[in-house]
Amino acid sequence: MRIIVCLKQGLDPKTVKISRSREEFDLREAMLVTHSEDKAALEAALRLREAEGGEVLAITVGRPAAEDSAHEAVAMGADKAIFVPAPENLSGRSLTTLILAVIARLGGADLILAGRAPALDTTGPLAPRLAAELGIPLLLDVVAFEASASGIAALVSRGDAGLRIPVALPAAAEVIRGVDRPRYPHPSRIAVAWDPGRVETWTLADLGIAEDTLVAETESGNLVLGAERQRGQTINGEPDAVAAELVGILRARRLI
Amino acid sequence: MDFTLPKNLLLFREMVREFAEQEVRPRAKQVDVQSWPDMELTRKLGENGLLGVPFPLEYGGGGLGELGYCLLMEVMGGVCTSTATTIGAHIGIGVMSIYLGGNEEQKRRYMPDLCSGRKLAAFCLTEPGAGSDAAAIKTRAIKDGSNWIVTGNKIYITNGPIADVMTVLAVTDPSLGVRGGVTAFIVEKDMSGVSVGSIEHKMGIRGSATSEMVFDEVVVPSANVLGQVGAGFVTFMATLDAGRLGLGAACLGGAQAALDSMCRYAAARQQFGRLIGEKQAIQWMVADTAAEVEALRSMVYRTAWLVDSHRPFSKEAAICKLYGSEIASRALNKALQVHGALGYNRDFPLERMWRDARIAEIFEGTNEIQRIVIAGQVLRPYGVRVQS
Amino acid sequence: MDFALTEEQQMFQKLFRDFAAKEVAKVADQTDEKEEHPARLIKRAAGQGFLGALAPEEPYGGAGLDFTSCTMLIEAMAAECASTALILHVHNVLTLRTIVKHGTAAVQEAIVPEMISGDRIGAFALTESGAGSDPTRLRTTASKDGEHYILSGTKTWVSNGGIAGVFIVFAATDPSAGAKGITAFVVPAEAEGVVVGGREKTLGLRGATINRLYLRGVHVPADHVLGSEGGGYKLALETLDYGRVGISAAAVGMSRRVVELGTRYSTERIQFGAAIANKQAIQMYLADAATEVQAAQWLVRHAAWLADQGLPFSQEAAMAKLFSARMAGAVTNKMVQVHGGTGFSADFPIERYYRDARAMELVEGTSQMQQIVIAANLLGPLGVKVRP
Repeated sequence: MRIIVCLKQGLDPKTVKISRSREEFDLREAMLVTHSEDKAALEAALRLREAEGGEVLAITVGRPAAEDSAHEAVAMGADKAIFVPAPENLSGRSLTTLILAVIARLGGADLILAGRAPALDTTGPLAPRLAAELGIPLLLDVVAFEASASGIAALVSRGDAGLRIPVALPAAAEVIRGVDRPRYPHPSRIAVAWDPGRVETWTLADLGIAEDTLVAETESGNLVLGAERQRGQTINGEPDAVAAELVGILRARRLI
Repeated sequence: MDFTLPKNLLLFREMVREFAEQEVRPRAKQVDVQSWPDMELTRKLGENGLLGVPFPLEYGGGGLGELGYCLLMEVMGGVCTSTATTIGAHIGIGVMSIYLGGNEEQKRRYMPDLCSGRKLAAFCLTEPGAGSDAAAIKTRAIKDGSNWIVTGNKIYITNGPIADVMTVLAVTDPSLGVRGGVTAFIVEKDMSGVSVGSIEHKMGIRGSATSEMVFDEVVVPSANVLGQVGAGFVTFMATLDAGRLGLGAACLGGAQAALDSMCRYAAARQQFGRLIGEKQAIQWMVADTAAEVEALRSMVYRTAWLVDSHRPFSKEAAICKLYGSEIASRALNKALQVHGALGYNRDFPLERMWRDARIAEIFEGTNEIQRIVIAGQVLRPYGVRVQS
Repeated sequence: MDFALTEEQQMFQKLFRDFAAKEVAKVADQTDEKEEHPARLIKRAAGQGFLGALAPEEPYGGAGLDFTSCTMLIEAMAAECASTALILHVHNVLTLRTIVKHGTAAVQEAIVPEMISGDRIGAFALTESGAGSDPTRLRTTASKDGEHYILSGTKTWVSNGGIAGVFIVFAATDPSAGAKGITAFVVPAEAEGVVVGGREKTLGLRGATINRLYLRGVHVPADHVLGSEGGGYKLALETLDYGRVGISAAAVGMSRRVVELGTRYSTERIQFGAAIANKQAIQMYLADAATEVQAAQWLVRHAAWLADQGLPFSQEAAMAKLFSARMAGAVTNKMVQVHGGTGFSADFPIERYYRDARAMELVEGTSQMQQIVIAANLLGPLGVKVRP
């Protein structure tokens, strides 16, 4: 069984700030990370490989720094990763085109996974586009896969419960984070993740794609700031009354 | 000179930081309160490859060398010193003694289980009459056919109560002293006669298990002689040398955590109508601590490079331990002072970090011994012999 | 210049030291380990008159000690148990002396005899969560209502809070007037609306009982004002001057004992074939420590003497506190090191002294506040206003 996982690198939302005074994003301390939902997709793939056997291949497309995501995928357990250097700010369609070219050159796959795009990612949903172009079934909100005698099934999130859906391969799926966090890369794999052969770089030329056929994303606009969130709330009064009010607030916010 | 970390070590550091935040920090208070390690955490450390980081892949290690080990210890030392101590005793001196002193068969027999955390290691050197004066040990090993009978008591053994594999230093020939008369043995906890003695109650690192280990006529096969008969002292001293740097790295983590803590508080606490961080007295504490942390950081990582490039590192490792332990204590003392009464309060983690830090100037060779080592190295070319 | 204690003072010193050695020593470890208030010990101390140290013999039968003798009492207690010393210090120096000096005759008659007998332990409630080093920002209010004041607010870090029978509480009678709007009140613990809150869990001084204090509309008769309305801040400053000297005496007491312990240990611990007292490094540590204890002792003695002469002693009190507190931290730290592994063990007393000593730089005005006071006294006359 061959599973392909598409991983993207982007800004870590925890490190992106907003400058209210300049009305723009403050990226001075922003860090680049592999999208956590993509890692969830890789985790789902690795577990399926552990159950069913086969191989897991990772694809990363992007600026030079994004190659780190490819190595990280190998460190987490992917058998191999393909990195395609590409211009910044590719449109969703162009990204899809590149990934399809890689998949074609690899000879296809049984299962193609991508994480649900995070809020700061503007290229839009990848798995649905891949499914549409390849004419294969699409699953959404997948948190895990299961293998049994009767075949592969996807566990799909439905609020607090889940749905088990049998999967007819080949298929594509958009994965979201479940309860289990993705595995930590193992030191012994980290040690060799940059060794030759673990990550292959395929250029646009290798894929037979001319750079001028790629389109940059066209989103632009002005930042609209929401109301400033209060940093906290002070409750004054006698301890008994304050405690009661605090409990009320926590209940209302469904925190207790 | 390239001071950047290679990519794989950057990823490793990221991994360790995430692990530490998710798995270690939430347990730090509890292990101190219960005065015992969290064995579930130890299991997770092993599963995630964090108990064999520096050792070669062929023995089941993480293949990341001394640099990887220092990064591990730095992160852990900033989050939970007890956990860092458990890891350090296991990797830095426990497994290390087998790695440095064992033959190929012993390494292949023990290291895979130890590196994966399926088994835990301890290093048994100290005795009631042999602390800084390690040569004064009395544990005895007597030849009996193809076995050795080991009898003696070791104290202050970190991981003693939870270890499966111990390296034990014993006297095999009293007439020869340390030069040829002392041998290291690999002892397994299930060997008859091995028992955990009294548990040590400590001011700090209470989440690390420390005890007396009792060896009562333990029959040890000669296949478990670590290296050669009579070579034990050299092996043990080399092991301590090698493990020392990890402790320096843990102290670096602790000092950095102290710096972060004092800055956060200085930026939040107001008195006299201003943030206390706007007062020069506090700024001086921050600056002095930052300077020391910076210096220590450079020292630790340069020394890791010396180790990984197979250059001599004894003096530098001793400096890292000496300086690191004192810097961490100073940093935490200042951080406690910045926090005022809150720093003295057990509901806040600072006092635990302060208590934990104190041991670093005492164990793994007291700072007095470190000074003797350093002075010895520095004065030797001048023809001055430094003795303990 | 006669540096000798008077015959009477010498007699008291011996009395205090004998009591400490006989009665305090035997409960010191347990007091810390179990975090128990040493109730029976305090009762015995009361029987000796120690809880009436700073109350005159007439008319209530106090011990009528001079301040120097009182500091010797605290010093002697601290040599065995810092928590006990703190209890007696807060009771005598911060509370009893202040009530005797500034309380109305009616209040004294009602309160002082019971304080002397030990039936009412005294506590001092000044600090609040927003008013630590800066007490002028306290928010507890005292509003006049006919012949009463009504006190409302929350006090934090009230030493002896949970065992007190009487509190001195500082509240704002005129919140708009800042320091000049603060008044000191005597508040009996049984007054309605007085609620003692949770006990703080602390790093050291674990036998001391330190609590929050909630004042919920406590009615206090007008004659319970100490001094005058609006005179509370000045009164606090005066009391803190005495308090600084008292706590410095505790610092000296614990440090002197710890140097004795370290010196003795160094003669008993054999390593490298001889007692470690034979090593120059150890000799240097002991020499430095003994010298610092001596210097602190005389700063305290001099400040106490000035107080007994009725001379200003603010500067000397701050200097004694600054030096003694730092000295206690440094000396206990060094003596932990002299003790090696046993210095870190909870089965030996040294680590308790180390933890207790750490409080010295925080309580009764942090070291940083002492520096401000001292600098202000130096620079004020030259026209530079020193603000914290």
